[in-house]
Amino acid sequence: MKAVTYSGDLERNLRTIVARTYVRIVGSGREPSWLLWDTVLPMLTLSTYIYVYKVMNAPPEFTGFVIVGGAMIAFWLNVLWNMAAQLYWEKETGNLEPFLIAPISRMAMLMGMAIGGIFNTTLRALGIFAVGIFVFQVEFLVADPLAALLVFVLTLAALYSLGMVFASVFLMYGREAWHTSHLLQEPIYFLSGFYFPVKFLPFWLQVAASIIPVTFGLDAIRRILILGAGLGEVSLHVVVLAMFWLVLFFIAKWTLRYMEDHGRSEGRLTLRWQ
Amino acid sequence: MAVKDIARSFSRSVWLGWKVDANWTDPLLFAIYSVIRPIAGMLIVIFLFLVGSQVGENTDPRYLTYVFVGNTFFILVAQIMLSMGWVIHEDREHYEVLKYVYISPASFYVYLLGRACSTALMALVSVVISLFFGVTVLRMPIDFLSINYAALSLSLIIGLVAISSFGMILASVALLTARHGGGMVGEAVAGVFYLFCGVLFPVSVLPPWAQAVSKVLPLTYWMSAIRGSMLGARPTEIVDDLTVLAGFTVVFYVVSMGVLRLADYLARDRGLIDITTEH
Repeated sequence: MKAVTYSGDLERNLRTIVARTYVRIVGSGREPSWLLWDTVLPMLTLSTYIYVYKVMNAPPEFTGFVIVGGAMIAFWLNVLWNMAAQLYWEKETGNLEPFLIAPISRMAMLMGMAIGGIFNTTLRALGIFAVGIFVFQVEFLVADPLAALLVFVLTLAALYSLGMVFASVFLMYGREAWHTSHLLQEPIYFLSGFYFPVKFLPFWLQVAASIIPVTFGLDAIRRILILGAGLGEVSLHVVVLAMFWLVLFFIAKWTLRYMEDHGRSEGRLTLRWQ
Repeated sequence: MAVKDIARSFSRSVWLGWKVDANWTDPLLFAIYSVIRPIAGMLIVIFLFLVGSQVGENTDPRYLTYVFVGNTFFILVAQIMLSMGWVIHEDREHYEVLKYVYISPASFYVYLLGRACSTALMALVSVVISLFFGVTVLRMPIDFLSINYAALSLSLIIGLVAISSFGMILASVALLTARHGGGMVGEAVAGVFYLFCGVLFPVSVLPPWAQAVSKVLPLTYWMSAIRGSMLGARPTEIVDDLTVLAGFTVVFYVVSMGVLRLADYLARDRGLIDITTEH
């Protein structure tokens, strides 16, 4: 009998990540209309908000704020529906059982989903940026590309770790979690300032918004891409995002194990049509 | 089919729609859930105005009323489009009951109409709550005593038929498409109306080609009639909008019946009534 070793586990989990990433990327290629819907759909709403700013003669950087917010919405929706809700889909389609009996880490499986999702969503976000540049003539002042990359990576790391925490909730619950995902759309768009800088919110709402990692990420990315800020001006954002990432990653690891055990004992892991 | 049977099918599908949407939790949590999303949506556009008025040059408070009324009543459009774009996929692939609906004695058109009506009723509640929240908490300048309620009721009735007809066309298209990607169609169509129908800004702001698009969309006239009614316009001021809206509504209603009949034929022909796409 082959001994289970640390290096064997590592290799298997790395292969799990690659396999799950592959499925996600190839899966999106099978339905190219997704790209159209995911790029065009948010642009309709974004264009509406851009026109509101135009009616009010707001400075042109506000168009850029909306475009950056729209690109980040693509990632937020990906976290909610393709990361958090994915285990719910797997349960509904009967794939969850094979995943759970396979000798792989749940985190590796979710990490593969995250990497594949980030790849697909980045393409959509680039589409939104392209519309912003070519249709609405948004000007980006990127003085420090490395700072932009660092903030972007940390924001996604924190966001997808939060998605892993949500995924554990979906292991247990059905439509309750489904509706919760719906609930985490408009209220988060508002609180995190997807369409306007969060500094315009009242102080107590800014405090409430600060528990959401995307608030910091979005603010830092806007400062770098639209206002030409450098790493020094967003250093606090970088520290906070790194802390979010570490804390949420460990919370995800714990909640996944807890929810799976809880789901097993209550017989909910194979329950459909909840 | 007797009128009594149609009424029974209709009321049962309204009830079913309500159950599907609401029975996942206790009534209090459902009520909170139903209120939070529309209010958050309203806060987004109000803050767009507040931010815009701080950094821009246009601070006309009448524009805030324009935005508030447009966004609040657009809840009806968004909810019905979303629901009707998804109902077929949900019944066919999630709950796997579409084939049973098909073989029941109920008319499929009446069934879908009932599901649309169920969503419309819930959306109406959200509209009313949003209006009261906006006026009482956010101090929106709407005078409930000066609203032209007769014109508002008429606009709502005609508009809901038009919106449901659009929804019916979406559901018909969904009969022929797979689940993946299908759920987005409702949001996309709602997005088109949001941009082109003068919901948050006058259509005159749009480029000429976009204004031409807005002129052939019935919801442009609906929005105008609703806004006029809410701000106490006289009947003569909104009669043109209502007439055009009614004309378009008749056209879209007839088209929706034809599209459903065609989609129904093609779906049966291609064996799509009980298809499941597991990815």
